[in-house]
Amino acid sequence: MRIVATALVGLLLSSCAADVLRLEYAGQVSTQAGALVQSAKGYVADVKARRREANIALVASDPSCSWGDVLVIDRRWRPPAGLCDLAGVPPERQERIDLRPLSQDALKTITVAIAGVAAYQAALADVLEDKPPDAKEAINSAIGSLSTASSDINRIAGEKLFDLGVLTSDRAKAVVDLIGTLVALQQTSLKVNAVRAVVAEKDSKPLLSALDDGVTKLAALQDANSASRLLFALDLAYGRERANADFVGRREWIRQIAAAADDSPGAREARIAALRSALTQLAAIDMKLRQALAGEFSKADRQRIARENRAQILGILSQVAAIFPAI
Amino acid sequence: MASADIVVNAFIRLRDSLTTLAARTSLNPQKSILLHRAMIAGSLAEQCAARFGNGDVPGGDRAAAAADAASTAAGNVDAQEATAVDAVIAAADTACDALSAILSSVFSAARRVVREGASNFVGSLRVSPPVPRTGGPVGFGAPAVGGAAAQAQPTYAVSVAKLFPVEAATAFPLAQAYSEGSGFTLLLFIIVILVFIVALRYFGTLKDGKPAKYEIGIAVISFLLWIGSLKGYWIKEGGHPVDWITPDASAGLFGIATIMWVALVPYIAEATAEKEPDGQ
Repeated sequence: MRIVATALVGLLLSSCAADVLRLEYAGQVSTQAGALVQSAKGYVADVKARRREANIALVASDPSCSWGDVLVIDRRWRPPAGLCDLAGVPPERQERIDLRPLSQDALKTITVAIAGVAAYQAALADVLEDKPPDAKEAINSAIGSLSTASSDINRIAGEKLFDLGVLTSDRAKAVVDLIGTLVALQQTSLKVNAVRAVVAEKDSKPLLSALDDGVTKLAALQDANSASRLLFALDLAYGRERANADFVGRREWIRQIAAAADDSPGAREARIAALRSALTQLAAIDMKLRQALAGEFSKADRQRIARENRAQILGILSQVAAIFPAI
Repeated sequence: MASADIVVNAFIRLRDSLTTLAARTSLNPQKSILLHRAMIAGSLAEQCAARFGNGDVPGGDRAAAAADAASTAAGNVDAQEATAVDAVIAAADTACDALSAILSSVFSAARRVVREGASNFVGSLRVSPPVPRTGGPVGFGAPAVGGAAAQAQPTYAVSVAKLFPVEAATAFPLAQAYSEGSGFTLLLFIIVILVFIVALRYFGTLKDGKPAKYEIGIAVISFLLWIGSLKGYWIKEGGHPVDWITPDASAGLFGIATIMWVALVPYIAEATAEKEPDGQ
């Protein structure tokens, strides 16, 4: 008798612990995704603003330059020549510096991946509750966005129509895989057991790593190029104007140059640290949640967990849509 | 040939090493020139990433090696020694010239493709040859034996890509998602997609005013099989059309049929072209 009672108590305890655990994981995933979207949004806006400031400084740094979509300069420029003075410069030495706002292409990779993470979570919530129309709608919209993004990646990569080769690239593959997962979820009619099988089979790692790559590249390439542009522009302008400036003016100028020079790879890493940390945690919690979902639990439990998450997940999806309405 | 990532990263390193050297040196005008070259290296890396994505850069290994050599030189040089710093600038120029040449040749090729694209589209989807073949082995991209027409034959893989309606294959899951179980809505979507397939291929296979009707038919059949492999014929409105087979089993059968069909269609197109030399 005592053995049976102990076993029952143990069973109840483990069941309660499992519920608490599942709720905690589900909540954590949503919180992480929300933080991730906010962080990405802030960082991308910041990168765009720094790019614009650097472009303005570059054009202003030399009287021979004027504002436009591109700045054409001599690749082998030497002072004291005007930066945009192309007299006698052969065409093959002329370099076009793009002054347009940061390309949506680079940002799109990140958005697609974030949208994918959020949609994936919506799918996880669907495992916990039977066929909620709102979540179904969210998945439909995610499929639409991702299909557009997939064909955009195809087009952007410059391949000819119907050439499937480009779809083998990792970036496009992560998007196509996610479409596959979402379509597979659709086809299960969002029945718990079938969805669970799909979720157990699919791995969100490629998508999260695509997001991580996108963020890393944005920091090391576009963001760092803005810093490099600004530093050159300030240095050039200082060289041109220092004879006319007084001590206070020169000190302020040098202060700006020193600040621009401080924007090292380490400083840029620090700017994306929050984003990357959120991604890492999201990947870890995502995996734990999938493992928790693989276990058996009651319909009441599923609905409770789903309720906890649904509003947050749909909120995240709309936030993602708000960042880049273009896709 | 090197992957775009390798080239981009080499030029990112070049940008950073030139910037670091500029901070270390007190020479003028070398400081300004180093910062200028750093900006150029970064701009080229950006163009390379935008153009090649995750793909390969033709001749990129040479440019990447030149960039790495310049980076190493920048790291090791005595920052106050004018001749040595000038040598680093010259090395950076060599690397930037190499990548710029690759980008400009690629861009001019891309511009040519865009310029010729519109006129090239008409007939571009055609698999069967537009003129009677003079003999030679049946095959895809067979060597010179078959003459100029045979040389112009697409490869097997390209034939599959042209005969299988990829645009419809990606559109159908979307249609399924939006019709939300309504058979009527899905049927409307299917009709629209079919019209699109036929219209696209009518113009895409047009040669001498005649479309390749067999190839249009093949694309339509491919799409109809694809619908089956995605359970598109099993709408739950009022029960399934047949009861003796489950949707999953039928999707499997359609899936196998689609695979077999896609594998065989280039040969079918080839055979019809052999039978009717004008490709009709």
